[in-house]
Amino acid sequence: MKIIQFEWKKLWRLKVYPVFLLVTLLFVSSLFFYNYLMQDQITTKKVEHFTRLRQDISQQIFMLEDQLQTKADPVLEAQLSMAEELSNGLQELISSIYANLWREELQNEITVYETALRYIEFENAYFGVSKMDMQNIIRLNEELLKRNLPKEDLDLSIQPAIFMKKIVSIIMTPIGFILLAFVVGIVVTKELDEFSIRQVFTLPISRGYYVTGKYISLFIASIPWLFTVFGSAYLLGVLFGRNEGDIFNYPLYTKLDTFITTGEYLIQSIVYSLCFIAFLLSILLLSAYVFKNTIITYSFLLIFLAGGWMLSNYGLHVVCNPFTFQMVDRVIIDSPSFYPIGTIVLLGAGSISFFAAMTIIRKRGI
Amino acid sequence: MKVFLFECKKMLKKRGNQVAIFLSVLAIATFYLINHTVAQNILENRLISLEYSLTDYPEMIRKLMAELEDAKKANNEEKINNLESDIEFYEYMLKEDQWELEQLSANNWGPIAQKQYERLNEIVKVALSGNLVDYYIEDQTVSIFTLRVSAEERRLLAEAGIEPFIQRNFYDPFHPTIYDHFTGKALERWEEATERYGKPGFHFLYQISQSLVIPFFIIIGCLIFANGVSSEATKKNRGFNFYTVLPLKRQTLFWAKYGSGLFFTILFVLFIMSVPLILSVFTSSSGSLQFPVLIYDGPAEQFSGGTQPVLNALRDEFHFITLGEYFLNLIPLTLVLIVFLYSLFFLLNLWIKNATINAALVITTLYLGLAVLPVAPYNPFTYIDMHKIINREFAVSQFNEAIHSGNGMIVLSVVSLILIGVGYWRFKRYVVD
Repeated sequence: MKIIQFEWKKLWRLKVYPVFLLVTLLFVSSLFFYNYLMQDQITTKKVEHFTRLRQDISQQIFMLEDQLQTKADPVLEAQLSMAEELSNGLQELISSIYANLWREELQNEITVYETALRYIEFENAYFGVSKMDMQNIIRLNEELLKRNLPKEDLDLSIQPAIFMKKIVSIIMTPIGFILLAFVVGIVVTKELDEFSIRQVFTLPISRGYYVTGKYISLFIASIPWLFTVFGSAYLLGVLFGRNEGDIFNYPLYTKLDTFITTGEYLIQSIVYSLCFIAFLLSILLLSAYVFKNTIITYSFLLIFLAGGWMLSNYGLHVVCNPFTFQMVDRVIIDSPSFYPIGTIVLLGAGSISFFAAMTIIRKRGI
Repeated sequence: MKVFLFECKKMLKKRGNQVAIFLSVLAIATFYLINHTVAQNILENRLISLEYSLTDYPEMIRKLMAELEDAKKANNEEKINNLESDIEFYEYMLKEDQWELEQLSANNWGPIAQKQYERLNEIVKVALSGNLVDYYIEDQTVSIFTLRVSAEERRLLAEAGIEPFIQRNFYDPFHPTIYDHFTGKALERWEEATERYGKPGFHFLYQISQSLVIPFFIIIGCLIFANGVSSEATKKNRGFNFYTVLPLKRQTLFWAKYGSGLFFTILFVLFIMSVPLILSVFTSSSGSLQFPVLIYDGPAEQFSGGTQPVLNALRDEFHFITLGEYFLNLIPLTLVLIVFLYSLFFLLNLWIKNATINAALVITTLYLGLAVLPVAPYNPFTYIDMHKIINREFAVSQFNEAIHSGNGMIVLSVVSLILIGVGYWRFKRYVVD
């Protein structure tokens, strides 16, 4: 226990760690402030999208009317009538967006896409949203109406749970993790660079005990950072954001077209983040004790994480690859079946590299 | 000069630097080999599918022939007509696939590109005549600009007979552009179909210059070589004090320290970039510098006008330059970017002795500079994404003609000079605590 306190004291006295927490807090706050200012943009974005769809339909209406002037055709007439219905539906949808009536907006969007699905059955009929996307939006809107929740813009939302998701997708990435490793890893590499670890080894404690203490203290040190990330995003959302309905019950689409609630998403993201940090710190210890040099250790970590990210992009996005989990948002949304096996993989890989680090320092020394 | 050479010798002799360089070489070599393997796999899958067609189609034709015989005996006119057109179709497909297999096996890229050009050009003609694109990905249309670009790229490839990038969609190998606005599932499919992998060395370099791999290796280079002062000014290693007892001007020492680190960072980045080129000689080939690279010209007539400019997929212009010309633009910009990032690192090292904290600070600054600051000609972080500067993607999407590599070099040089000036001022007063 005392060794953990000792390591904590060292980390805190370096001043880098509190500054890192502060910078993280500042970053989350700035992003929230940005989203807060962009709220009007959400309406504009939606209106622009549906106006463009309406323009496409209007063009088709003109063409159909032209064709019908030359010859009467019952199929074309049916298509024209449906196109007009679709155009009116889009107009109603745009009006409900302007009026900020979210229930009507959801209902109107369902109606528009249902009409559009029937409309595209006609030959040469075109609607700028794919069939599968329309079906998915209808399902999502129905689910939202059932759960009595307004629809959120996943990029610009200030609803606490959705904003937390956005923060996870930005910070719980190789960049966020590498910055954490750089900051907390100083207490490991500094004593190797300055050879003060030799003095530590003259103390009456085993090397294994010392390394374990160091690992645990680094891991515990990462928790306030995680708490800053998630806590600040949540608090800002609750205090200044939109809190309508059960925010942790908001349905999110996975890549398999199944729903996951924001509550489940956040639990998974916290568990994955903790497990990946445990894995990353063990790699940090291993590389630090292997190379015994700050520059090499961090060059190695940078290359290792970037390489792992490349590998998962090149098709090795598999559950047995621990680097798959450094993109927390992507793994939850793209591969929901990886949970909870992924956590076992991370902890397993972390344990192996931790024991390798311990063996190296015990056998090889400094 | 002697001090400079002395500093260079010290950097070369550091075991830590040697290991870090070795790790970086290993990383880029592994990256190239993985990329090469993925490209090779896609190509082999295509060959396997063509070979399968060559055994499958004749079987199908035989079956249809037998059915045709029966239909003729039964005198079923409608069935005879249907079967005859089916047989004709399969015979045509067989001939096409046989031809493609022969060309692919012989690495005859020119005729393949010519055929792809003819097909794409046909789609372009239809689209231009009716102002309507008849090519869909999950019910969403491909931009007419993308079609025009893709057809032109194939024409140039056919003319030069160069090996193209390997992509999953062999039939219609589209060149993705900023004019596409796919969403949802269509976007996923589009990205998958247009992901390009370069096998030859130059192609791979072009591929990685489109992502941020070069700035990544510049950061690694800075991490290794930009801490010449701080590494000699720690509590345990006060080697910097040694210089104070030598008959050396601070100015000379500054340029020796700064210059040696910069020199090695530049060499390091160039060396890392040459590794795939060397490897490619053994795996496939270094590739052709005649490969066409897309440059956006945008809505030129609207840039200076008073009205709000918009992108017009039908009318906006584009042209292609060769890969050689692209690299001639990329190399000077890379050199200036190295000077900028190195100067930033060097300056931070004069205040903060820990290289790790400096690296964290630089990564955070770059990340925020790229993600938060607006894309603008006076923002030095805009020029980190060098590909989008050279191919004018930023200039066209932001409707700002001032965003180009010339201005990039000026902005980065000015900021670097300021950083060097501040660094020199700090260095003159630098003492080891």
